[in-house]
Amino acid sequence: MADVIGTWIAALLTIAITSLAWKDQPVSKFANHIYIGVVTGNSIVQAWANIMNVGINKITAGNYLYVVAILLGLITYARYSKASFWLYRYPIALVMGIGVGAAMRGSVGGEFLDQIRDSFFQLSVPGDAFTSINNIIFFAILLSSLSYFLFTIRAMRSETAMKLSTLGRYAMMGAFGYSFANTIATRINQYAGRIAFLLIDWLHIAG
Amino acid sequence: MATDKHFLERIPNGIYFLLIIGAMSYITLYPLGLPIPVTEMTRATYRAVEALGEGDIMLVDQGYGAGTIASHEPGFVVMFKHAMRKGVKLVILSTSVEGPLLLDSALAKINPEARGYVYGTDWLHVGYVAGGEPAYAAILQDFYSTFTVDYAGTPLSGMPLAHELQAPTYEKIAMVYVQSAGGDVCQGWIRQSAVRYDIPMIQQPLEMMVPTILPYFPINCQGILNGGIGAAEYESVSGLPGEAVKLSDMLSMGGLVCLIFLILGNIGFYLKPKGGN
Repeated sequence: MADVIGTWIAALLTIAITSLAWKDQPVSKFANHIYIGVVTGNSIVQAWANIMNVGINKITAGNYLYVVAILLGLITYARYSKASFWLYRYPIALVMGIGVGAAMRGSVGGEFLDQIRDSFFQLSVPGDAFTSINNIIFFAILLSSLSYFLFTIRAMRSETAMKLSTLGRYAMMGAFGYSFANTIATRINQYAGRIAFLLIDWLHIAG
Repeated sequence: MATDKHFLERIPNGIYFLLIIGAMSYITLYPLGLPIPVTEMTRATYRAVEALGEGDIMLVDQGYGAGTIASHEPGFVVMFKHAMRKGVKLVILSTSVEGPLLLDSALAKINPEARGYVYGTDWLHVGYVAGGEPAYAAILQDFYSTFTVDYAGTPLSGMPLAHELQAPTYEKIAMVYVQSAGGDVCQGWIRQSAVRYDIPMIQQPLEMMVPTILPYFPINCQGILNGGIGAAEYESVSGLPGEAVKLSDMLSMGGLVCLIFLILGNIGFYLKPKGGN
């Protein structure tokens, strides 16, 4: 019975929030507010469970070093007082420092060196015309796209260099088109899931 | 009779939405069973999972929310089933606050206990993890010390799988599988696991985030599932059909209608009188 009620609530809320596609309606706003309320409530519960799991439980188990972390977390609330506003900068600075440090360690390797290394390959692969053509196209697009961003080099103002950078611009346009098509696919996919739910799980008219 | 060159512009947006919904509903009622071409990204993902051995551990970031469930849940389900077929153990966490709430829905479609997968020994769920990239680093260094209890509040000390993940955890993880709507989460995991410890990684970003992750394939990321489309391809290539295959006809039809609208929109733009204000 609970499943049936749940399915009906989900179906009616899906229809209510979809009505926004026609125009902004009170029912769509109602469904929207319910969603935001549920997500906010759930976020608080999950965040509290996380604090308990990785913080409080360790203190109660005798690992008192975590008291420092909890105190630093509490200090972030100092931003709500004008007198103690300055205090909140310290935990934020610490979090930012740790975050940047952790990210930088992998950034140089993953986003710079590995990418350059991955662009070194044999242009012509004997016996594999398809891969060879692919590699040549990749190399041409790599060079032309990079040349598009060389703004301050005088040699890049020559007619030939300008043609190369134009090719790079077109290549990037193609990439943006691919990205846009993927965005459309994402939106369609999200609503396909809802249509399937309405027709299969709610109305039982499709299998 | 004068031709109205602005008629396309005057069609209310709601009509377009209704036509898309109508076309997608029709194909659900009368499916065509269109073939699903499998991309190299999906084949590479399948090969990477197939290369795992019995008892290997896969760390799963089930980082999706209600808004992207249609893209991610079928991928999670088929990956879990494939891992079970291979005897791979799964450690599940979520970088999305909504993830743990949605896990029950996915588990109902997998039913791991009925297939002999024992909780705490073969799979484990620790719930939501805050902290971003420093948290991923901490988990990979020492999973067992980072968490004290699982999602249900049961102490990890009583779970054999959690004991297997004592420091250095990165040496015990055979693969990281990341599902997320955010490119920063996907890239964060790449930096912390693939680049730093050379752990094989597969990713299932949202379709619109695939161009962001594509440059990492295959050097840092052995496989990519392109959202729900990738999940349908994976169901097809792994021989484990599920929900994504059912949705694939709808995706094709929705995409076709959008393509027609794009063409009509461009014709409308071309017909529009040029010049003036």
